[in-house]
Amino acid sequence: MLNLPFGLTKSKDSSKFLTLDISSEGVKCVAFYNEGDSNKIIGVGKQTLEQGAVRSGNIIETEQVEQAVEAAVTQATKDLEETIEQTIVGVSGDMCLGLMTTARVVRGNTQQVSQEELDTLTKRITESAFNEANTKILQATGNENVDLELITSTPVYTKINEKYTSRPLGTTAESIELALYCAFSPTYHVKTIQKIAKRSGLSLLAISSEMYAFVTALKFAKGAHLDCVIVDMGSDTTDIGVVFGGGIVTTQTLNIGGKHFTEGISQKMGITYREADNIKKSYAQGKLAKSESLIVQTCLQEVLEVWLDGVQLTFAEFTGVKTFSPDVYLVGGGTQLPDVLEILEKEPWTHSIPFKNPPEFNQITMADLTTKVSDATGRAQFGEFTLPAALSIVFLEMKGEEI
Amino acid sequence: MIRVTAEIHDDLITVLNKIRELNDSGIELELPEGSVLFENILNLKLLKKQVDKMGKTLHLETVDETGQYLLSLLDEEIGVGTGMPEAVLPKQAPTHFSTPAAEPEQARPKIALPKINIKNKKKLVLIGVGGLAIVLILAAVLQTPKAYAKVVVTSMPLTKSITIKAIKGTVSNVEAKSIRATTLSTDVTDSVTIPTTGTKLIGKKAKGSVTIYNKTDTEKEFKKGTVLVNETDGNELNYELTQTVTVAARTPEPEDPENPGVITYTAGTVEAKIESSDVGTKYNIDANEDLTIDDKKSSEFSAKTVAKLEGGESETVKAVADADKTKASADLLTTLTTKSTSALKEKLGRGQKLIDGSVKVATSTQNFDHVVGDQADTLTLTQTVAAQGLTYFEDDVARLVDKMSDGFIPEGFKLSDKEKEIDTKVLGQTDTSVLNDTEADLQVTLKTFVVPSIDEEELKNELAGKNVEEAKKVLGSIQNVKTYEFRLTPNIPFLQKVPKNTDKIFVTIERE
Repeated sequence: MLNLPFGLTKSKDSSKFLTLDISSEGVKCVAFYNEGDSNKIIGVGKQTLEQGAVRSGNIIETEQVEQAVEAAVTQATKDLEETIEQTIVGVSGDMCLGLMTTARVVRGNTQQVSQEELDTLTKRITESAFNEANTKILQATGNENVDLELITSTPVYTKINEKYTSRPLGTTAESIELALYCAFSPTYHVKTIQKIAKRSGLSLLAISSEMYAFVTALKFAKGAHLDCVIVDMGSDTTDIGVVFGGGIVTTQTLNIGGKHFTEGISQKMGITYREADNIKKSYAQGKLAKSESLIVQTCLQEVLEVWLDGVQLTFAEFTGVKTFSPDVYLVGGGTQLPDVLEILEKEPWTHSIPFKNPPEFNQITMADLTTKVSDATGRAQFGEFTLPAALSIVFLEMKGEEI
Repeated sequence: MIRVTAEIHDDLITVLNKIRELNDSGIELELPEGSVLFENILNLKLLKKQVDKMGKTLHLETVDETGQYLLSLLDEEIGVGTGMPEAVLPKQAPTHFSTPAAEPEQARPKIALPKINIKNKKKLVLIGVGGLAIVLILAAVLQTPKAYAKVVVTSMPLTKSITIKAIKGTVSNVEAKSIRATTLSTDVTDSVTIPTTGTKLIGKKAKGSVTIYNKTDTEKEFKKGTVLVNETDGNELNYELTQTVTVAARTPEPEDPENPGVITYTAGTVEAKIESSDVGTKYNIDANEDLTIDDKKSSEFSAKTVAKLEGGESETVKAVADADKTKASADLLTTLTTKSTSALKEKLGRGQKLIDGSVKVATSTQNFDHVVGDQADTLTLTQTVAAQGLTYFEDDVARLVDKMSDGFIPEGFKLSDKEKEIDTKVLGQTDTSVLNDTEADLQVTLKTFVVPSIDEEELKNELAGKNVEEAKKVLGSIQNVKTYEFRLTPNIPFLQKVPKNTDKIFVTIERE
């Protein structure tokens, strides 16, 4: 069961809710109608932001973001008869650190496992995860004064006497092993989101790790004990998550994303950022002439090479991972560029990474989430809405649906 | 080597573009304080890798303290030790990082001191040592020895959730896990207008005259209101006399010579005004229509319309139904309950909290502007309710949690007095929890930090009189301490004892 530890309210009488994805490119909002154990998209909205308003997920210009949130929400709900306040906000990039922490207790007896015992173990793991997160932040940023807030905490697996079980309570056990996924976000970021939601008249249901929500949604298509690597390219960051047994083991963030490709086109072609963004989208959708596509490819090449080196370095940062699953799933607006998939598949960069087998790269789209999320608008099919759509899984978990 | 200064918001790609544009193979890059590149060490690693690929050397400088730390980590990782200071450098001291090759070590300048030729060196040394000893003793006497110990403790997050009761008419009690609750009351008046849903028939009655026939031998009086009935096609239409009339008895006709012994009679008659009992056009019956008189045999009394009755008409209009009153009451009660909660919240004192769901309202007065059956398009209800709700004080919760917290603080720790957050939620009326106007179950969640419990005075006593090694052993043996620092002033090599006077020992405990 997902645990959302702070200041959360749960609406009992409304089955409509919103998800928000705030990135440097803009704010994306998706409106949902909950139909029991699945969610239906009933509206989408997107509002671009001025450059610099958000950086690596970090909200710099609160007022601008607040206005963009209101505009995106208005777009997403304009065809509905009522306003929707219940909102789930996704966190990613440098503003979200996720890790799995495992604890094994040898009990030396065969007494039945009690809830209290599991709670105590969970508490200890959470404390340990908190310390580990602080250490990781220090290693990555050199900053030891970042107050962290636990935003997501959920069990990945439980083993009783070395065997997986989903119902540990009441079983007799000589040993218990519990793996917990915890996601942390800086306290100031959480407070900023809470402030923006309040000022925009939204009722904040949860702040969740986007990577967590995405992996949880993906498990319905790929299996509960999924092993894979997730590459989520947002507008100015690329989050890489390592998934084993259906749980996110660890995540890292590379500060290069889709906007850098846009900037590459803008600088090399001598056009504005917005014009470059339109050209990039047309190129990604295959709408440019061959000669135009060749020019765009040239503009992208430099950034692509740096990005690939960055991906390689990021994999090297996963020091605790011995081997990586060969299934690599790409998601996020940035991965819509065909060149991203192409360079990942062609380059020999994977030789230095301990993949179990030669890796296979696959793009994840809305079609992969349809078990739990359907689109009634036909407007959420483009890849940029996949992550905010996946965030809706958090609503199901909060309702107590078996995930 | 060419020097480049990055802007604070220059990200990795921007910096690389700047470097690419330079022809020089050696780059000295100054990263400003707060540079976004310091948000993630991967930026610096990737920067290095890319510059390597360009075949250039990079020399990084920054005054940013965090940046210096990251550069030192990077330096340790790649094994370039040239001139790199400690892991964390003093502020404002520019740090550099060179790649791919280290900067050549510069020769240190040598200082030549003039040579002094003293014949009796041994004597001079003795004088010098003696003088130094006197100076040190004087300094020690003049400056009272002091000891400074700084202990850095690591705080741990502590979250505890407990169920407590707020009970009216009691005081806070740790054993019963209860706090006092008080009742707050107020009067609220409001009105609601709803459309009516009932219907009603209105119109005019049919009027006219009838001739009443008396076929008996005695005259008969018919009082006003006497009912006359016309029956057509099985439908009965009722009318009433609008006047009291007397109809004479029948009279015998003169005997007919051709039928001797046969007597014929002429019925007594009177003309009387009538009107229909109800409204409607159906009462406009024609002339010469027969009517019977209330309970009278038609062989004795009967009536006939003199002319067609006129004036009967009708229409259906909206009217107040009983259900309208019920609905208005229910609607207004919902509104008044919400308004009562707001009104009660306005009356709350500082730190006083209204327990959601505990508000009860009772109707004091109510007034409808119509009664059931009235012709009306709307019905307005004005109602006053007396509302009362249960409240508690945040301070009472905080005090109770403080008193109860001893039970769940790990041994050797105490509650931090900073960043304490108490969240209180009402559990509501369920099978396992109570919520009524005198009692409420509350779920209280305490989020705070615990820090190792260190008694400063006890620590001072333990340190008093110890030498430096012993003092450090004392500090090092404290449980759950991350680091500590210890120093004595003045720092005289042969006077390395902690003062016995604990007033001269200064202990600082820092929470991390």
